[in-house]
Amino acid sequence: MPPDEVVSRHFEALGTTCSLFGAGLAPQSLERGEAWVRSLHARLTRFEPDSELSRLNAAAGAWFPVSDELEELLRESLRAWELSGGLVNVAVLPALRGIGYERPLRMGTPGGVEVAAPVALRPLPEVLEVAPGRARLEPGAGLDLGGLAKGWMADRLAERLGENALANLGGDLCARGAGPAGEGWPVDFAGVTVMLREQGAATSSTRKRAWQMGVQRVHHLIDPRTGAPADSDLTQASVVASSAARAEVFAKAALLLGSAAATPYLAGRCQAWWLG
Amino acid sequence: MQALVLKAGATALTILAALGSATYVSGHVKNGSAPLHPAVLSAQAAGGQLILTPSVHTADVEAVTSTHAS
Repeated sequence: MPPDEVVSRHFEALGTTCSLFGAGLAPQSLERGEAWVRSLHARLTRFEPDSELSRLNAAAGAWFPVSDELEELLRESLRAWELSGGLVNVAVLPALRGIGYERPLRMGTPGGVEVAAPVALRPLPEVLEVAPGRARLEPGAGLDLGGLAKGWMADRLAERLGENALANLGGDLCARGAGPAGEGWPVDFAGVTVMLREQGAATSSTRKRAWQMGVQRVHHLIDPRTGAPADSDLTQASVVASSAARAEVFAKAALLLGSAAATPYLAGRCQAWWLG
Repeated sequence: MQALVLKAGATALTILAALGSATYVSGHVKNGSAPLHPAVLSAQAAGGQLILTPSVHTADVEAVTSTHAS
């Protein structure tokens, strides 16, 4: 059987490059996929004061009505916290503000501010309550859904695109179906081409989204145990798991754990990993 | 007399089964140096440690995309 023709679409969204692929799909499917990403981004970004997430953050201390998508993502965040033993904690916004990360880095790196004294994050279930159709944050708490949203969206988007599609949202990707030639979707993974089907992959890194504050180099990956940018002997972790959301959680947790603890943590949870 | 023979037979059978089991188990102790299951492929790649379990297949084809830091 000849391979299905692959259609693709590339665009900038979520502060990164996104790529959608489909085998045997109409190009319009990918256009609708892009529109869905942009729509979700507008609601889930913390950088726009009118976004749904920003309004939830601003309403800390009171119950706030949330959409189905945000509710699902908040529940996914609580699962991620459990899966990672507390290492993936989306209530990281105050810590990010403490290092001056107040706006998208494409608008310039933070400067002219001192690093605030870090404070360990409280467990996510203590600061975030989710009920059907509404959510509540403890006063002073704030969420940045960041990479977790990308992984979650990649999973949902691959499903929306069709039975044989791949959604890559800034390195968090979900491959669905048998790919163009029936052997899976060929994905570059640490320089090796792996064939993914019904699988996700993600990379967590401190090599990007990093900047200098005085003599101190800071980056966006906060360690919830300290509230400060992670101090790990690893600078990058890539993972293949059962979904993009899971891969995102495991990659971030591995990076925070460091090389000695990462391998036993990943074994049994992931299908492939690269630590560097 | 018949009951005694039956009891002795049952006892002998039990002892034989126990001895046989003990002999089998002693000859099949856990091998600490046995390979991992599932076997994993470990290699140095791109300046780091790459681990691939059997559920991930590699191929000599061009990738359409990659997982990367963003």
